[in-house]
Amino acid sequence: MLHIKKLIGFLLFFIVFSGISCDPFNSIIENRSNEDAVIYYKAETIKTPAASSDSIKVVTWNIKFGGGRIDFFFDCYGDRVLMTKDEVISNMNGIIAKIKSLNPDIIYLEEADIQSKRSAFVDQVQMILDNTDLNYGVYASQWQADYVPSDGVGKVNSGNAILSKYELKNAERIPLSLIEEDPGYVQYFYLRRNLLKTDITINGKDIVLFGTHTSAYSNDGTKLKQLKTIKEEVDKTNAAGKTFILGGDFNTIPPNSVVYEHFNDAACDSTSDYYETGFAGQLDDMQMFYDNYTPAINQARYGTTLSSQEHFFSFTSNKDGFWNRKLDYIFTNGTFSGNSGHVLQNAGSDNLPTMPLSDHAPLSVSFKLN
Amino acid sequence: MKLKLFLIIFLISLSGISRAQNPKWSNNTADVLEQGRKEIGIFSPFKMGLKNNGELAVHPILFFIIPNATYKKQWKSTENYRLASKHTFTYPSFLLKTLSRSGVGGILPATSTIPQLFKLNNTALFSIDKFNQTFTFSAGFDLCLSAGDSDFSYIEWHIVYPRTYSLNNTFTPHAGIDVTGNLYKKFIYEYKFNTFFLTNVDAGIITENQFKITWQKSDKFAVKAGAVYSYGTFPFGKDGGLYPMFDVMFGF
Repeated sequence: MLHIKKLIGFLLFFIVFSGISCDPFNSIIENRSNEDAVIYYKAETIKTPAASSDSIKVVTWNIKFGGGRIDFFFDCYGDRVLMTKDEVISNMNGIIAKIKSLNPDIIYLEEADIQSKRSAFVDQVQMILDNTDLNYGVYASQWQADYVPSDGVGKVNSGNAILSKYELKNAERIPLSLIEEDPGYVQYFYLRRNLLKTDITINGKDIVLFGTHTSAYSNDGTKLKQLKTIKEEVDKTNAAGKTFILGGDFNTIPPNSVVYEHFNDAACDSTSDYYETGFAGQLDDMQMFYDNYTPAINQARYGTTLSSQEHFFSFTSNKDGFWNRKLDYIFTNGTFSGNSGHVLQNAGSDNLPTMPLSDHAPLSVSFKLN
Repeated sequence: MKLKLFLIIFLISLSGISRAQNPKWSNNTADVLEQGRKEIGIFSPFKMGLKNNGELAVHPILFFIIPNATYKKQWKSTENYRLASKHTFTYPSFLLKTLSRSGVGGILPATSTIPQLFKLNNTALFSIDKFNQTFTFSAGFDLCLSAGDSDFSYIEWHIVYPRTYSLNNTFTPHAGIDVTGNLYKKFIYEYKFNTFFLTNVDAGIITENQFKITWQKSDKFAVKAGAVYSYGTFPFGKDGGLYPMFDVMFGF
C-alpha cells in the first residue's frame, strides 16, 4: 500500500513538473485568449498617408508565403519543401515592389508566414510594413506548430493578415471549422482556418474589416460550413448598422463559372493529399454573398461565358500557364467605385508581372468613403 | 510561472536533504557503476560496470537505427574529489535518412542529402562532496566528422537542436553543473544546469535546467520523474520550453 502511495505521489509530482498539456506542440490556437491569438504590427517608421480622399484602395492577395513560383511538393510540380533566406528575400522583394506599385490603403494577405522554417523564419508581415507605405497590421495564425513532423515542414506560423496605412484596433480571431474527415493527428498538426476581424477609422468613417482564407482540400462540406460562419459574422456586423469590407481567398469559384473541374494545371494525382476534386456541387456556395452584399467584381461583369470570366481569374498552380479560376473576393455592404474591381493578371504600367510572384493574382477595388 | 514553481519546489526540496544517495545506481557524477553491476531503463540505455573503474552504456533498441556506445572512465578518486571522462560515439546517418521522407514522420525533407556522420561527445567530469550533496562540474564538446555530400537542415526543436547542432557545424562545446543528493529516505534529487555554445556567429547559446527525483526502491528497481526547461537562441529566435522526463529503471 505504501509503495502505491509513493507511486501515486510520484506521478502527481511528475504531472506538476512535466507541464504536460494536451497541446505539446502549441498548435491549438483556439486554446489561446484573443490577446494571444492576434498579433498587432507596426512599421518601424510610420509614414504619413497622403491627404484625405473620397475613396480608398482595397486589395486582397494570397502571397503563398513568399514562395513565388518555386515548385513545392504540395503542387506536385516539384519536391521543394524549404526555401533559403535569399530565396525568400528575393520573392518578398518582388511582392513588396508590386504592393508599392498598387499603393493600397488596406491589403488583406493570406498565407503570410511570420515564423516558419519553410520561409527561413522571415517575418513577412513586418517586412512588408517596413518596406511599403503601409503602417499597421494585424495577424492571426491559420497554421502554427512548434514542429510539424511531416514532409520536413518543421516549425510553422502562417496565417491571415490585414495591413493598412491607418491604425487597426479591436482585432479578433474567429475560428472556422476544422476539416472533419481529417484524422485527429492531422487536425492537430494542420491548418486551423480563421476569420480575422478588426476595426479601422479613415477620415472619420468607421469600417469593420474581415479577412479570411477558407479550406482548399475539404471534400466533406467543411468549406461550406466555413463560408456560412463568415456570412453569419458579416451579417451580424451589417445588422448592427456598421460598414464592413470582407476580403480574402475563399477557395471557391463564383456561381455560373463555366469551368469548374478538370483544370488544366492539375498535377497531383488521386493518391495525393493535394488532389483537386474540382468544384462540382459547390457552384452556388458563394451566392449568399452576392445576394446580400456588393462584390468587387459583380456577377454581370463576371458573365456567363469563358471569354468574360477569364479576365477575373486569380489562381493557377502552373507558372507556365495562365490564371484559370477565380478564388479571391472582396465584398462590402458599403459602396465600391464603379467598375473599379480589377484582378492584376499581368504586368501593369509598373512592368511587374504578377505570375512569378505567387500562385494568386491580387484583386484590387476602390471603396467609397462617402 | 512554471519556471518559478520549478525553482520553489527545488529550494524546498533542498532543505530536507540528509544523507548521500545509494551508490549502486549510475548517475551524472564522476562515479561509475561497480564492476559487474548492470542497469537498464525503459528510456535509458543499458549500462554495465567494467573493471578498472570503467562503465559501458549502449541503448539496445535505438542501436539498430542510431548505433551508439558510451564509455565512462573514472581516472581518479580521492577523499576530496573524483575525476572522470565520458565518451559517446553515435552514427546518426541511418536515423536521419529514415527521418528524411515525404508524408507523416518526415522530420527532414525527402530531398535532404545525408552524409556519413560520425559524432563523438567527450566530457570531463569533476565531482566533489559538500554539505551532503555531490557537485559535479562538466565540460566537453560534440565533434562530428562528415564524409560525402551534405544538404540537410537543422532540427530546430528543444532538446534535439543543441545535440544535433554539430551535425551541421562540426563542433559544439558544452559545460554544466550537476547537484545531487538525498531528499528523503529513498528519494534522490538531481538538478542539472547545462549550456551548449553554438558555434556560428549568430547562433548563441542554449541552456537547460533539469530537475528530477528518483525513487530508489532498492538496488533493483527505481523510478525517476522530472522536467527540463530549455531556453536559448534558435534559428527562429529566442524561445523557451518545458518538457517532462520519466523512466523506470531496473538493476541487476
